[in-house]
Amino acid sequence: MTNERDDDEVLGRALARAIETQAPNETLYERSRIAVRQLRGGFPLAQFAGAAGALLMIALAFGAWLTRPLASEPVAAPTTATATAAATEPVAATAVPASEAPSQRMWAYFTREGLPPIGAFITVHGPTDTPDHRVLTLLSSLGSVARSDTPAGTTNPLSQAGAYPGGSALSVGVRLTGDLATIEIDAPKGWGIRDPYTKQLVQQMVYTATEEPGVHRVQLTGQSGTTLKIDQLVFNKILARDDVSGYTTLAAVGSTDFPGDAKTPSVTGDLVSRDIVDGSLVRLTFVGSDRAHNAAKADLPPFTISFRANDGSVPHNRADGPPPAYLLDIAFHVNVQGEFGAVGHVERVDRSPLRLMTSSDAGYDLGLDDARPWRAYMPDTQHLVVEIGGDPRLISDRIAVYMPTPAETLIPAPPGAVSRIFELSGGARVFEANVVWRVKDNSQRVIAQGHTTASLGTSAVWGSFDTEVAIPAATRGSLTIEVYEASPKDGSAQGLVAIPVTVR
Amino acid sequence: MTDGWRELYESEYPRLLRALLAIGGDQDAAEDAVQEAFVKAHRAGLDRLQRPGAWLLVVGTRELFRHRRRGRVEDAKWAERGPAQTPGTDAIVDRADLLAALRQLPDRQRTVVVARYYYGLSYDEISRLFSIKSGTVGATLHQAIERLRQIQIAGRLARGAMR
Repeated sequence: MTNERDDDEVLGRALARAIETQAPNETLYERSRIAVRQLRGGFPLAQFAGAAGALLMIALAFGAWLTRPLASEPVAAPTTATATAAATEPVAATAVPASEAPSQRMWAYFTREGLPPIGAFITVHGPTDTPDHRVLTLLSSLGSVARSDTPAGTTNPLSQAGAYPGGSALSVGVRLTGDLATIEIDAPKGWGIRDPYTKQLVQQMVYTATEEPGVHRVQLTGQSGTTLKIDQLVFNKILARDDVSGYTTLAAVGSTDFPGDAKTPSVTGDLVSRDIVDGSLVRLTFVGSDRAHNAAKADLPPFTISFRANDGSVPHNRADGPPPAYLLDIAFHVNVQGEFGAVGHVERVDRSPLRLMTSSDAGYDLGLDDARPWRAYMPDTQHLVVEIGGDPRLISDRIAVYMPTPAETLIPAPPGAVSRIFELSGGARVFEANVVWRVKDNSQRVIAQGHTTASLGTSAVWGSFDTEVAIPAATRGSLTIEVYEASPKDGSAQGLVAIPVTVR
Repeated sequence: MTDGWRELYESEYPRLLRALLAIGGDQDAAEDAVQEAFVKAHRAGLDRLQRPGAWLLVVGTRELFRHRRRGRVEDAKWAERGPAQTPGTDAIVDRADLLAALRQLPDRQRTVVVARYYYGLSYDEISRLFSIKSGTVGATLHQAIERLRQIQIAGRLARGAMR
């Protein structure tokens, strides 16, 4: 026994040494989250990471987009010459011998329940000479994607469809007319797909087909243009990405101006961190940088954030990947002295939802998959944090909850406690900074309620809040935490976010 | 202004980062969990932490495992590598393989091994901090080490790493 213990110690010490000799990149205190937090007591810079674990989450309303009225025309939807195919052209058929065409890599989408899709390059087989061939080849190749091409944690609904018991593979036809792709689905008798995959299948097809430049909308039909019905759902709407992304509110097209230090010359904003969390959220942190003084930290100059559909102004090379659907531009208004404004640098990112990033001394232009909402925080005058998207269940146009996350199991109350306390934190842009919350049990009864004050009200910059919620210690089971703005007119709940949690 | 946070960060950050990197195998996930652990500590308040180092380890590992999905791919890659091909004489290679072997243990065993041998926590402390029955800490540790050994490379690695 003693020898065994000694041997264990020897191996243990070797292990400790191995751990010690790892050489990870270290973050200096100045760049740490607590240092940033210190600047403005309690800014939740990184808690959104909790959105991971998507597959374990409870499925809350995915969104009522299947029955939503016809989507309005996509903003500035261009019809490029390459995407135009005459309406009279026959529908391209799926029966393309895979062996005849060389394989290549194209970008397609995979899904998660209740979340926006995640894109990835897959190997496709089939002709890619014309736009309609490309869409068809991409969709038909999705049915047989290698597991290694499927991003972790996602589902491939099209292969689910093919694998349905007793069903032969689905056959698909594609016709392009202007910016509309008509996808004809010929479902063999006995074929079917059920919730939640039906919605995910539609999400996957709409995102994947609109990856073709110039294609912005998708109409799903049955054989020979008949109305498509799957699992008692009728697909008679034309759908754009933003109808199926799962976000209830979308980023508005337009510009927002933010104040800053306009006097100090040669100060711009430098991107110091870029996180893409769970394929849902992009978080960028900028810090003011004084180019006249060795890029020393400085107060940010005024800046403008604008959002628009990509009108084709972003040039692209097909081999390099398709152009992004939307652009978010962060422009710093530098008080220029001397030489300033080097040529932009283009980086292909291709991690959903961020596809492309162009940077120059005067700002950053981001190419995005869809119009998911964005928000800006300024923990202090030197730092800017821009967040794009996030878990759709935690976000509205004025509330973004960081904690708790959906399906989180709350920590039990200590023995003898009267109430169970948990943290509720997030961002808000609401009237008089008043954030209202209530907790409902599974029979919709309100068991606790209150309100807290965010650090800012309805300025362009969002405020943050961090409060404690107390519920009776004996509470068990499924709860919903609702966070919203009380309408200044009638007190009704605006921009409500509802988070399902469990209490054991 | 920093009220001791800088000191705590500078003394605890490097070893917490290494511990979580060893446990999870993913630099980004480790960094994220470390930063989150410090934020949680900051929220709790310095004076409420009796042993900040151990406290940070507990909270950090919890954070790490919350996002463990990300680490799975990395684990799979290591598992595929199997034992090193050449007889180990290079201590650096051996150490990497020892860490890879560590990541094939179950979460709890990994955590306990790191807490014991890298952080030097006592059985009692481990029992209390990680809510493990006091009698089972020793057994868990022994099982963990035994498994490392079973991943055959381990014994040889120990010698290599101890040189």
